[in-house]
Amino acid sequence: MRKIKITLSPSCSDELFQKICNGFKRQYPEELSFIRANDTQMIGGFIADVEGEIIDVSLNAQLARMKDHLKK
Amino acid sequence: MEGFVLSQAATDLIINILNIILLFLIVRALVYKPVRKFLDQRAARVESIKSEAEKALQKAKDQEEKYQKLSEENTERCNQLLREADKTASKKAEEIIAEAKKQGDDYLKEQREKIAHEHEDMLTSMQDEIVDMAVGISEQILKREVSESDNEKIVREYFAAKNG
Amino acid sequence: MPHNSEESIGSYLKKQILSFEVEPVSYSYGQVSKTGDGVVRVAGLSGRKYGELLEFEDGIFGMALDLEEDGVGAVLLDISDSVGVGDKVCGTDRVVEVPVGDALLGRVVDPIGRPLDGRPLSARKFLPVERPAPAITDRRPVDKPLQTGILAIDSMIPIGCGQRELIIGDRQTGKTTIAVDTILQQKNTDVYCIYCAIGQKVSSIIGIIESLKQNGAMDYTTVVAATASDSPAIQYLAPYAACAMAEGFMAEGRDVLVVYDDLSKHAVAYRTMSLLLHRPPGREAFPGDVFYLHSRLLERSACMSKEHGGGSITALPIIETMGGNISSFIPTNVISITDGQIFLEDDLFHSGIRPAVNTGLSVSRVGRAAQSPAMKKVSGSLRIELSQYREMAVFSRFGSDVDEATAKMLHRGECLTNLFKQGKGSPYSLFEEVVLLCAYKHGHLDAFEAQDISHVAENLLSFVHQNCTTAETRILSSGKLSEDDEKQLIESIRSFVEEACQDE
Repeated sequence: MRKIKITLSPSCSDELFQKICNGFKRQYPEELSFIRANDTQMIGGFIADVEGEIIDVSLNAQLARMKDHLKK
Repeated sequence: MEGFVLSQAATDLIINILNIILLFLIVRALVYKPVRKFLDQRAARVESIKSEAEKALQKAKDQEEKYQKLSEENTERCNQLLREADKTASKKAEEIIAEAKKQGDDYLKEQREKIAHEHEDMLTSMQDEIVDMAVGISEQILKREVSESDNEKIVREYFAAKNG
Repeated sequence: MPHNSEESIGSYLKKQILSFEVEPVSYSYGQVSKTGDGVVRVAGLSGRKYGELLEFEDGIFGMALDLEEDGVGAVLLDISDSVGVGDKVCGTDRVVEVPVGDALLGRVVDPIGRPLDGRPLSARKFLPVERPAPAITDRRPVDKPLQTGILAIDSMIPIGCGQRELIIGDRQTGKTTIAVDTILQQKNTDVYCIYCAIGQKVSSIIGIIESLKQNGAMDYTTVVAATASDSPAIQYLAPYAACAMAEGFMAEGRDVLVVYDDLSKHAVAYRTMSLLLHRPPGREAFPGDVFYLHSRLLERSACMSKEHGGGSITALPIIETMGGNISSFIPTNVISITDGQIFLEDDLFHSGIRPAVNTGLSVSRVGRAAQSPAMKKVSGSLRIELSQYREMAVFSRFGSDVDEATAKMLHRGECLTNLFKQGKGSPYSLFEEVVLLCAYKHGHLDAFEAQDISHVAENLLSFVHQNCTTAETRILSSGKLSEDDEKQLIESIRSFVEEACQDE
């Protein structure tokens, strides 16, 4: 069973968390188990830790990318 | 008797004359000849000293000429050396000036490049600060403004892109 | 960065913002499964490159050295006890890079480019520490001399720009002194120098830096320091980092001198790393690729052709032997890689002959092609004379009577041996070396006692400096000894000898 840890802002609802889980279930054929973690620093979006791979869809990551892009 | 007296006087005269002659001969032999010899030797010595003095004078004159010539040559040589030294010094001075000019140009170029780099660094540093500030401001604004629907939109767009 | 000064920062940033595309960030990570002694095993993290920089939590960096199917073996670049089992490790898709350029001159840095002298370092350009050596067709033969200022070396074991000359000897025989004196000699030349200290004591490195500062050599020198207390990974990287910095200067068309002090400790650090990574040990417990460790480093020293900038990197690697054994593993490896060696003997050192160069075993494979014309003229038969002297000296010890010619040869040999003695930190200029060898060659030193030769040499040089200034300028600028200059020198030397003999 593959474990996926989803990190969200504490203000995000459980429905949003469920939508994310459903999205990953469509992506991965095997059985998945989900864990929710809260990060107060997260502005928006989520970070998924899929056992050896990090998928960072958070606004924090986008802001960091923007910063690097502008400093180039 | 008178005849006897006269012959006595004549004898005395003859004896005196003989004495004088003998004395003359003796003086000539003992005094005159050595003295003459001495005087001749002295004259010869004087003559030789005179000739040596003349030779020395001549030699001195020759030396004087020689030294005069040497002195003139040396003066000429000194002048030549001075001219050469002057030429070398001028050349060296020109080289030093050219080197200094080159160093000055190089230094100027280096400093200009340094200024350009520092200008670039300053602009980069300013830009970085502006970027940091802008992103920081955006972060603060987003923290307040991001809603549940925005998050849903992010999730939806991600999975839509993933699933093609 | 705005591409031109006419574009304002604001408009440039606006343009950049508009060109930005939102996309998710994904990266793989591994987890530390084992850690200890600066070596870390990371589970997962596949698809990494050899030598890739890995980032640990808390900003610690490591280098991937063992790539396996299910994990990576890495060495930490910093000594840290904050890396624990379970910590996440990410790849960075880049290899270890070091800053290059003029910003490094006068600086003391570590092998990953961090300044150690308390001032910030801003460099524009970076180069990876591991780079391929220049191609054969990009090089040109070594033909330009590199003066060391050490008479014995410049006359008989000449080094050229782009050559690799090994300095090998037991501990405390003057190896570092020769290297540092060579760096000091590069003052007023266009040669930049890099001194790479590998596994040295901090006190020794500080002493060397002070010596360089006092002699004004830090203006054109960079010190790369990996001390004995640094991790084996840092000591392993040090010579490659120094070489990369040298390549940065060489690419600008400059001549660079790099001293690796010393490669024995470098091999030991690599052995430590390899054993901790469980690589199979070979001879003397070194891993199988220990030859490649040094060959790929030293092959990057080259003399580039004019089309490729015309710069050069001259390498002076140092190897420490035990008991004068130059046929042990690491020394023989490095001897076979380099273009010659300067062999320093313990016995010579303790008998007062310093530098303790064994001219019989020392060689420069580049040879006289790397000598200036002036030096070639005066140093023709020195090796043969010394060799003959050494042979004859053995017989003279038996107390046998020798004929006049042999006695003269012995005296001249002894004079030459004493002439080669030189103080620490006192390199000779090319002019001074030519004067001394000219005096020896024409027999002007035969009038003096052998034990007085050092003193005579000092006085002779003072005399000649005052009386042969034009010849000195010409020889130093052109490297040639014209007939007029040679006559002037011989005349001057003769005057000195006459005066000196009269004084006695």
